Amino acid sequence: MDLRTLLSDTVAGHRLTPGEARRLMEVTGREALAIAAAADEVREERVGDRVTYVRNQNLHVTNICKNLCGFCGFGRPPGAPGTYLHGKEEIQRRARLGAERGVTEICPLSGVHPGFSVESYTDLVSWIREAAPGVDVHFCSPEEVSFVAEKAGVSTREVLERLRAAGLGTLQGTAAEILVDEVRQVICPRKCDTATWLRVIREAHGMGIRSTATIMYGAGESAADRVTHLDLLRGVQDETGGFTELVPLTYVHRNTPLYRAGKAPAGATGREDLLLIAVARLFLDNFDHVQVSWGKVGPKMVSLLLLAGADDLGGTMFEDEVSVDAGAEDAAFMDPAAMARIVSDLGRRLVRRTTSYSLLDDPPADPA
Amino acid sequence: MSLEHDLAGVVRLLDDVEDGHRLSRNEAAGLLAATTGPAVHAIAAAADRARAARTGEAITFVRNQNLNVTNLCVNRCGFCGFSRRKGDPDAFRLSLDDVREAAELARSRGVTEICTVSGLAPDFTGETYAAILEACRAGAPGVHLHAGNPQEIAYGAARSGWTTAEQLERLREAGLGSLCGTAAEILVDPVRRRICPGKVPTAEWVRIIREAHGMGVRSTATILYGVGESVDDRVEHLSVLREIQDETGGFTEFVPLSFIHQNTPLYRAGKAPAGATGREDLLLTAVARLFLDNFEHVQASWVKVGTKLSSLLLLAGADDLGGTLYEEHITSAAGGTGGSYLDPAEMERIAADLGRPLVERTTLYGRVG
Repeated sequence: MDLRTLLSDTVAGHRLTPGEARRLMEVTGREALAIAAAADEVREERVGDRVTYVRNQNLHVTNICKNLCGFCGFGRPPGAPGTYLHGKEEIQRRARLGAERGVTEICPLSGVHPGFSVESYTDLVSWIREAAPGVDVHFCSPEEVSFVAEKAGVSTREVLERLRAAGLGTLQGTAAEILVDEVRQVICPRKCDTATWLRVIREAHGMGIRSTATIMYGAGESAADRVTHLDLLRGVQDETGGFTELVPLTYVHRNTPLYRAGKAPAGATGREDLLLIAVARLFLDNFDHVQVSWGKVGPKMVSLLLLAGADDLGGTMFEDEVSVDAGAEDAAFMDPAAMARIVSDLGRRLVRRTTSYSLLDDPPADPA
Repeated sequence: MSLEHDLAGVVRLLDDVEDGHRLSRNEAAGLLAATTGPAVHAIAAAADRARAARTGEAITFVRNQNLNVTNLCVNRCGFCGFSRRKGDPDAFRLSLDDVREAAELARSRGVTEICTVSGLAPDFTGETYAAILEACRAGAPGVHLHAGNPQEIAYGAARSGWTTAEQLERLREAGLGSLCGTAAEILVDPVRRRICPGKVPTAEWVRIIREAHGMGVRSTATILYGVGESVDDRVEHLSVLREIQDETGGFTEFVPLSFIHQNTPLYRAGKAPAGATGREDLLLTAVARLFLDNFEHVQASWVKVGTKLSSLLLLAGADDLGGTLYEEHITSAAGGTGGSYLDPAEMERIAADLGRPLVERTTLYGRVG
């Protein structure tokens, strides 16, 4: 089938097969622009001219991590220089700061400390809830859930129950990286395997705990791997409908062990970023939202990715040491006024949302 | 006609351009104002087809070294974070010996071009600019010297009481290979008064470029955009360049320079936006490719926009990645974080990712090797 026909069929409702998605992902020439345009049409149909963001605060807990993944510049082994582990007082101080800033979400970003237990996570959740009542505590990935479950000899379901009882709002769909075990063995060998990740996500969704879905791409995996990953997410979403959005995380390479060892490329190219977003929008016909990660790609690429299927700008963050430590330059506070400028430049509307995409009725931000 | 809300109209116009229609200014302004995904992507795709028809599939680059001789400058352009006054703690000025040594180092790295860009130091004369070129030539004989610009020519000439033709001639004797087409910024005087009031007016820039081309000294053509000028200003600028090129054919390429805002007086004073948006960058390159039907080459300036956006600009009409650089203080002083050296291996990866060959060129677009 010629590409134009495939695209117009897809815009009209054809569900892309993994083979077709791979073909789209591998386009190198100007047809990439036609794919982006088709994704933009689908985005317009699905969510209209709204571009959303969430007023949130990242909260760093510790940079000590048992995983030490090759694509990460943030995690450090216990005892390494520059490590930290914040206690209750500091966590609550930061959570209160978030509450004062009027955030609707607090998103802890944390290494998986080898000493953490189920209680460590439930404590963190309840400390934050106590200091910032009413915010969505968006925390814990399937990796963290399965790690502490195994350690405690309890089921992941029980861990999820206890997190929910402590006040967890939504689960982070991180630690997905690339859901292909051969790739995981290279880039994150100590993380849970694909089957475990999927099982915990299904379990959470089944309990009514929604989550994001992520993909960390550009670390040397193939287009076929990317599509396999998207296909797994689409399958879960067909069953549970529990994913709020896809969050593509482009690999920030500079200060990471994989790149420094010559085992990963210098991140995805602009073409790959464009096609990841566009093909994800076309392939994930059961997702409402596709995010563009400002902190990872910078404001210029944000503008173009919003024209290629993305409709969400993620959070205001206020701090993101994970991207900064990996070498990203634009990862700190995302000013809604700067967002508004990029969005209005495209003739679209910036709208604030909650973590689970309830729209909030703010006065419009002045573009700056 | 509001082109931006009329996708069919955009597509019709793009078809006409492909058949040889020369874009009018109004039409170009309409294209630059497109905001929707399908329109923007159709324009970029048309520009990419025009690029393929004009220059083929090669993505070119030049192995070059920038050499900033001084940051002392009598001008204080609002878009610049580089210029310093005498006595400023971080003011610098290389001696002629330093220049010669830097040129030797450049030559040892196998560059085919040295690009010397400097401020307008208060004590420079026409002879100083010539002496800098001679020092470069002494350190790097045989390497193409890409230097000066109409502003430096006007300044040197005035300081020495020469005509600009005499200044150009003196530089040519000293080894000038080609002229930088910088200091163009936006060739619309009301905009120049706002962003670079100390620089030569449009007519003088145009006159000196014509003079150089007439003497057989070729130059690049540049635009500095994203400083708050309008779409019509950008088109007016492109139109001035197209007209010169019709007459002289002396421009080697068009180099769009996207405003790096962070550390510049204009941005800090709230008088300029935070640079162009990605949409504006893409459309500037694409519309320039379509409008400048008498230019062979359009550059993607990775220093200004980063490698990711460069990849997309190469899908939207650009065919050249500019220089490897090695040393670049002007963009980094303005707050650019793209770095100052791009390894040809990384250029190779960007080109191969688009299924196109990377080819090393000289300043004047001869093939190397």
